[in-house]
Amino acid sequence: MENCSNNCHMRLIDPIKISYKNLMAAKFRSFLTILGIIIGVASVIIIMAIGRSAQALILDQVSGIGSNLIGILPGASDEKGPPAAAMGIKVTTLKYGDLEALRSGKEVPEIQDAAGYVMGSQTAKYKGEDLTVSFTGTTASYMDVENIEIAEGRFFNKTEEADVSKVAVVGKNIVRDLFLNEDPIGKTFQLKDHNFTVIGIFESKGSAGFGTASADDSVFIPLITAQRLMLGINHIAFIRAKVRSTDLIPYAIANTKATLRERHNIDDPADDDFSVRDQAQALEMIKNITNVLRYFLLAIGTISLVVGGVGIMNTMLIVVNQRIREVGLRRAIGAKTRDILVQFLMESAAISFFGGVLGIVLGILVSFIAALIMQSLGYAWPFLVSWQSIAAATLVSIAIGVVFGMYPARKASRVSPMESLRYE
Amino acid sequence: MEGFAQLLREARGPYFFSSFPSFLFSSFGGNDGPSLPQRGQYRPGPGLHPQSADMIFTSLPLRDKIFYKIIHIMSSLIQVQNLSKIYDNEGVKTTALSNADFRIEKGEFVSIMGPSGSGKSTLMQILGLLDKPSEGKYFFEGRDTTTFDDDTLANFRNKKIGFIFQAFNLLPRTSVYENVELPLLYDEEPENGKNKGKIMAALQAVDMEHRVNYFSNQLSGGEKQRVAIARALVNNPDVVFADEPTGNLDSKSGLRIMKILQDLNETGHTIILVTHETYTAEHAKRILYLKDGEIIADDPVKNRRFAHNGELLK
Repeated sequence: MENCSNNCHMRLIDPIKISYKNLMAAKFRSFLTILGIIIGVASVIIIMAIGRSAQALILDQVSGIGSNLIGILPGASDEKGPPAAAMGIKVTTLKYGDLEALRSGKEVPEIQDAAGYVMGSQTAKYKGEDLTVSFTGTTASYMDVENIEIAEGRFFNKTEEADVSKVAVVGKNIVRDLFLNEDPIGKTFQLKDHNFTVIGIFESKGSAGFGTASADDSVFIPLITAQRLMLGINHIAFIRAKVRSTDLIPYAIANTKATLRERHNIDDPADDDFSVRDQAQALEMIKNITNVLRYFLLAIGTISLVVGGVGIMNTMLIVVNQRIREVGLRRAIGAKTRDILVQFLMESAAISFFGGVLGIVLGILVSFIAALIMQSLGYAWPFLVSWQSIAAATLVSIAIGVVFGMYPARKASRVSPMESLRYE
Repeated sequence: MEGFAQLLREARGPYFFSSFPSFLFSSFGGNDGPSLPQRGQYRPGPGLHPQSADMIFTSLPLRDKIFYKIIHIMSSLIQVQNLSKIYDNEGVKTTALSNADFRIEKGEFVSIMGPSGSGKSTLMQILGLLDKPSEGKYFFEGRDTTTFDDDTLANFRNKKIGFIFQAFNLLPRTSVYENVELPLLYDEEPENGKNKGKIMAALQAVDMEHRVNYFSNQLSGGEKQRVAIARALVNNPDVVFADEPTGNLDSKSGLRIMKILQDLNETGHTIILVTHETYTAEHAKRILYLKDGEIIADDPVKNRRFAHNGELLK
């Protein structure tokens, strides 16, 4: 290879041509060989694409809620990790009194308003229609805190909240599925044997909300009504507070913590039975959770790539045995051991690269179809395939070919020309 | 002995002396070690009658005789001394070749003949630099090949040796052109832009240029072997080894191959043919007979056979 003039490219092209010919000569076997790589690369691409899309979707919605919100969750938690409540553990330390204290504007002057939430699901009945709906119990301040608009009618007020009124604001899908597109305003429907009157309809948002169910699919009722009549509890699932301005968030968090510690008789911050997070932390947390999922799936994809590599090694070992006379001939006419090594390495790299390209195409195709399906289901699901993941998949597939082709190639290069020519 | 060595040192200078194989000098000393070929074993190149060469040689003064012998060894294409090959298969030792001593000059056409298991393939593999001897020396163009490393051997095979095999060994699913091109791809000193000319010239020599774009699997056996010969010739080697080249062919195609080999020899190529058939061997000018790993005879062919494009002339 020292004399790199016109022969270098020939030496490079020659093995590619040879491997292409050999791939084509045994199409089915070649297909099986590269199948492992195709599946591995495709799954890596799909996982990366779907993971990124899901992350983008969730983050987009979280940041859509508003950047000047802080969340107060029951139970202590690590700043970076998910709160206990997110793991499905019921913590009952947040009470209505806490919400009132935060809203009052005395203890935490930075907080403009706050809303408390409880969630559940129940069977809703209207004129013989049965529908399992998820409901959210919240305070009248909900409209102040969240970026939600009412399409028709109104949201419930403080009086209705305090009176444990049986009023409901419903989403577009509830109108469609429960009321069969009748105008529901003023109509009465049953939720767990209680008659609720519809007073408003949400503006369609078209996508799932974060923390609460999608407004489109949800029934909103006053917080105390939900606590007493629906769930039989007296704690709050979480509180969201709107801070007067973004730069006041650190003070709001500090004062909220102090207020709640005082109310809960906590001296040592390590004993906190609540956690306060701002939007940035929430985003960070969601990223952490989705990244863990992505890397887990990526590990599975990597395992299939390794299995694919073993498949290539196996096939290359067979190929070396089948073509031992060719190796002998090449050695006889002047091929050096490294020429043979390079030839077989390039061949396995070419097989693997070819599988990688097919895998990338398949991966992009599946991710695209997934995006189309998700979009048709009404989610703002972006189609995201990064150049980095394509470049990484290409490099990884070539690397797998080289790594798993090394042993067979070394075996081929060490065959003595005499013995291989004698081989029958 | 010392006197001759002194003579050589003065005549050629220290470089010549030190680069020269030491066996040359031991041969003047007596019976110990390998000796120069005896009279009668000596074979001049084509065109010079052995007897007349011997007469000239005996009439030379001693000093000229020495130089003549040195130049003669230098000019020998192949010289083997005491060559042995012992295979060690898990402790079981098999002697495939023992104490072979001969030389082959440029332009010769030599058959190595013997029954199967006689060691002729082993000998060809050693002469073709595909294998190394267990004992003895093998000089190719005056250079001791037993000291070569693998890369040098590969370069030698590429530049100086052409191979023709019984099973043709063409690459499958590959065109005639690409098959013939193969040795050029492994050439360490490629001549840019000359490959096509070389390939076409080699194909012309075997009358196969009309099949240049055919694939190897589209050819008949005889045609395959002709392509294999073209591949052996493309780097213009010093010697062509043909291992049972007609073994897989019908007699007509076989004769055509022999005709090509004879024509190549006429144009100055050195051919070494390995065969077990007396008939085929007799197309050469000289036959080395092997039996049980030993050379039992080394004779010129008295009634040489001539092949002519598929028909026997004689």
